[in-house]
Amino acid sequence: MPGYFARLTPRYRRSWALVAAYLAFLVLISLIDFGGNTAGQTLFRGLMLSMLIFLVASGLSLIFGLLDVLNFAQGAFVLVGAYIGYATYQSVELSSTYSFLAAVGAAVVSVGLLGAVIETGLIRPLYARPVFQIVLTFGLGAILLDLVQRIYGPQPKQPLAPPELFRGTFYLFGQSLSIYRLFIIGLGLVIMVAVGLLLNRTRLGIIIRAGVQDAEMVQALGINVRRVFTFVFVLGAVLAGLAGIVLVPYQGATLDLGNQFLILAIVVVVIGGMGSYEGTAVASFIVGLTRAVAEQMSLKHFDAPVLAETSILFLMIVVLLVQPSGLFGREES
Amino acid sequence: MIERAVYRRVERIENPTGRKLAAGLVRLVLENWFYALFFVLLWRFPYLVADLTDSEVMPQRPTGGSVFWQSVMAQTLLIACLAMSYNVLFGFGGIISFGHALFFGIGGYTTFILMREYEPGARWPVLAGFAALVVVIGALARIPWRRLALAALVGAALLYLLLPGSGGVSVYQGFGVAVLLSVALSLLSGAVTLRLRGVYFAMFTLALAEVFWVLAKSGTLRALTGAEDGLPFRDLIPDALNPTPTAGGNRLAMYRVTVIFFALVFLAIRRYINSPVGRVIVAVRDNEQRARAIGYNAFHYKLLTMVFAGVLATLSGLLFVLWGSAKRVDPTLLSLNYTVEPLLLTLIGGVGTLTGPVVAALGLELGRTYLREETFTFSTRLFGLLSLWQALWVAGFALFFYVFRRGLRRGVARALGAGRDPGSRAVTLAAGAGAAAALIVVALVAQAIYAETDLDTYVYKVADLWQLFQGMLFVLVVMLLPHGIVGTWNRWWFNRRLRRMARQAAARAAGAETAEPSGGHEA
Repeated sequence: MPGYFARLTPRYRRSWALVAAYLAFLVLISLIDFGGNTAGQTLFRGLMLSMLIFLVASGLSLIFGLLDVLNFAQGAFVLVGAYIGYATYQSVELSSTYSFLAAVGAAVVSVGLLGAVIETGLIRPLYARPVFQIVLTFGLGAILLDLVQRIYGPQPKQPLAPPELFRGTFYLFGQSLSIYRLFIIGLGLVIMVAVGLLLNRTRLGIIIRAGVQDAEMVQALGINVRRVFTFVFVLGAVLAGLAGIVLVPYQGATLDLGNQFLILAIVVVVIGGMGSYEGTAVASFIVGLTRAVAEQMSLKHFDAPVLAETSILFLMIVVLLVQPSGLFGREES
Repeated sequence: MIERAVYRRVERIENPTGRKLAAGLVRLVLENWFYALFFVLLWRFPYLVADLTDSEVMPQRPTGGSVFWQSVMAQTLLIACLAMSYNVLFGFGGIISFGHALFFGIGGYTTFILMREYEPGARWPVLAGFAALVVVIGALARIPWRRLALAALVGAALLYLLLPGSGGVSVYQGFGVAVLLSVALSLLSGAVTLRLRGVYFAMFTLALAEVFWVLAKSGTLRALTGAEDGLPFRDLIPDALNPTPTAGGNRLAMYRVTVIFFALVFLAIRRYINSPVGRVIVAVRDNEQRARAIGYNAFHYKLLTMVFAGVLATLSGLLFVLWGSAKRVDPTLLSLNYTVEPLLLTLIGGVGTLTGPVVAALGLELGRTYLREETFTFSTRLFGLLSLWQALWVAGFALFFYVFRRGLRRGVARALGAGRDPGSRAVTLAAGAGAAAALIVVALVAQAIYAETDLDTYVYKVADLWQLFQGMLFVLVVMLLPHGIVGTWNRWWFNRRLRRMARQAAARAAGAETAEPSGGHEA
C-alpha cells in the first residue's frame, strides 16, 4: 500500500486528499448536526448502502471500461436477481441458511446466464454501432422490468427473515441492529478486495486492465478479447444480481429497485471515473455516505426526503463541471 | 434531399420568374405535393371522422367519435413533434440525450407556476438570477465575454419585456418565459458536457432530467408543484386555449392550431437541416475531426442544435399539456417515459430522416389508441389458434435462432460430424430447422399443460402489454432494422435508381459502340 501511494501521479494524490477531506467533512457535519449516536447510526446505514451501490457500480464501470458499452440494463440485473432470489428463498424448503444459499445461487446463475446471452447474442453484433448499444441495453432494461412485473406482480414484496446464521442482533450506537447488516458490509468488502485482487494479481486481470487501455492492441497480441468481454459482462451482471438477492432480507423487493440503483451506480461511475476500479470503490463510499447523511439531514430539518434524492445528483453535476473525467478516470478531451 | 435542394437552387437561378411570390408558392406546393396532401388530410381529418362515424364535428355532441379522434390526433401530432425534435438531436446532430423529457415537461410547469406565484416585486430578482445563470453558462462554455455580455443583455431584456411590472403574468408571457428557460437549460447542459464524449452527455442529461422529475413529484414542494397530483391550471387558461368541448372551449380551433404548429415544426426542421448551418451539423455528426479541421467550431454548432431541439420540445410540451383531459401538469411529463418514447419513434421511423418520426408516431400512437380496448384471449381472432403468448414464444425462438444462427449451425455440424461442403450444410440447416420445430412443439405442449386450468383466464389487454411490446420493438429494430422504416425505404429507392441509371448508362455505352463503326467518324 505505501508503494501504491508513492507511485501515484500528483493528480491521483490530489484526488485521494480530496476524498479524505470530503469524507471527514461528512463525518464531522453529521456529528455536529445529529450528535453522537444518531450520527453513528446514519454513517453505518451509509456504509451499508455504499456496499450495495459498489456491487452494482463496479460491474457498470468494468463493462464500460473494457467494452465501451454503457450498460443501462445493469439496474434490471439487480431487479432480476432480487426477484428470482426472493422466489427461490421463499419456495425452497430447507433450513433458512441453506435456502438462502440456494437463493443466492439461483440469482447469480440466472443473472449470469442472462448476461452471457445478452452479450454474445445481442451486444456483440453491435460493436460496430456504439450508439445503438446504449439504446439496446435501454430497451432490454424495459423488457426485463416488464417481464418481472408480469411474472411476480406489481405489489412490492415484503422483506423476508434473514437466514438463521445472521438472525442475531448486536448493540451499536444506542440501537440494536440485525447482524445481517454486518453481513452485507462484510460481503461488500470481501468482494471489493476479491475483484481488486482479480484485477491486480492474476493473468486475467492483467488482460482486462490492458483491454481497458486498448482492446485492439490486446487482440493484436493474440488474446481472444471477445471471450474476456463476455467474462467481464457476466461478472458485472453477477455482481448486480448478488446486490439484488442480498437486498431481499433487508428491504424486500420492489419494481423501482432497478432504476434506483442504476442512477446511483451511474453517479458513482461518473464521480469515480469511467473504467477505474479504485475510483468506483471510493466513489461508492462517497455516494452512500452522502445519501445517508443528506437523508437524515433533510428528515431532521425539512421533514421530507427531497434533499436526499437530489443531493447525489447535484454531487454528480458538480463533479462533471469541475473534473469531467472523474476523480480517478483517465484524462480525455 | 440534398440533391433536391441543390437542384431547386440551380433551377431558381436559371428561372428568375420563379422568384415571384405567387409562382413560387404554386411551385412549392407542386414540388411538395405529398406533404401538401397530407396537410390537407390532417386539416379535414375531423370532418372525415365525422362522416365515417356519423357524428358532429363540434360541439353539439361532445362525446361523438370526431371529438374523441380530434384529441387523439392532436396528441399524436404533438408526440410526433417531440420525436422530430429528438431526431434533430440524435439523427442529424449525433447527440444522444436521455433528458429530452425535461424540455417537454418544463414548459407547463414554468408557465403555470409563474401565473400562480408571480408578484411584480419578483421582477428584478428574476432578472438578476437569469443574468447570473447566463454568465455562469457562458463562463463554463468559455464564450468570449463580449458575446456573453450581449447574450445576457438580450436575455434580460426579453425577460424584462415578458415579466409585467404590475399585475400577474398572462399565459402567453408565461410561454415566453418557458421558452427562455428552455434555451438557458439546453445551453447549460450543452455547455457543461458537449465537449466530452457522448456518454457523459447522455448521463448528464439523464441526471439533470431526473433532478427536475424528483423535484416535481416530491411532497416537500407540494405548495408549488402539486407533487404527484400535478398542478391544476383549469382556471388559469383562457377559453381560446381550452380544447375541452364542454367548458366553453373551442376544440376544433385548438385542433387547427395544433396542425399548423405541426406543419411549422416540420418546415422549420427541414429548413434548418437543409440550411448551411444544418449541413455543418450533419458534417460534424459524420466526422467531427474533419469538420473542425475545415474550420468550423463544432461545439457552437452542436450547442445551437441543442437549443433548437430544446425549444421545439418545449413548445410541443406546452400544447400537449393544454390537450390533457385532466387539465393538470403532472410529473410524468418529466419522467423517463417521454425520453424513451421519442427515442423509440426516431429509431423505428429512421434515424436522421425527416419523415421517419412522423410515420412512426402516427403508426404506433394511433395503433395504440385503436387497440386500447382490445383484448387477446386464448382463442384470439388475430392469431387464430395461437394465443399471444404462444406467438411471443415462437417469435422469441425465431429471434434466438436468427441471432445465434452461425453458432448453432456450427454446433449441429460438429455434432453430426459433417464438414463444410455445401451438401452437409443443407443437412445441418435441415437439422437446425428440425430442432427449432421440436423446441416450438415443446413450448406449445408446455404452454398447453401450464394453461390447462382455465384457458379463458388468459385475457390480456393490449394496453397492459404495451411496455413489453415497446421494449421488444427497441431490440428488434436495433438488431434487424437499423435504418428504420423510412431509412430502409430511402435506401431501397436510392439503390433502385442507382441500378436504373447504371442500366441506362450501360445501354448508352452499348448503343454508342454499335453506332460507332457506321456514323462515328462522320461528325
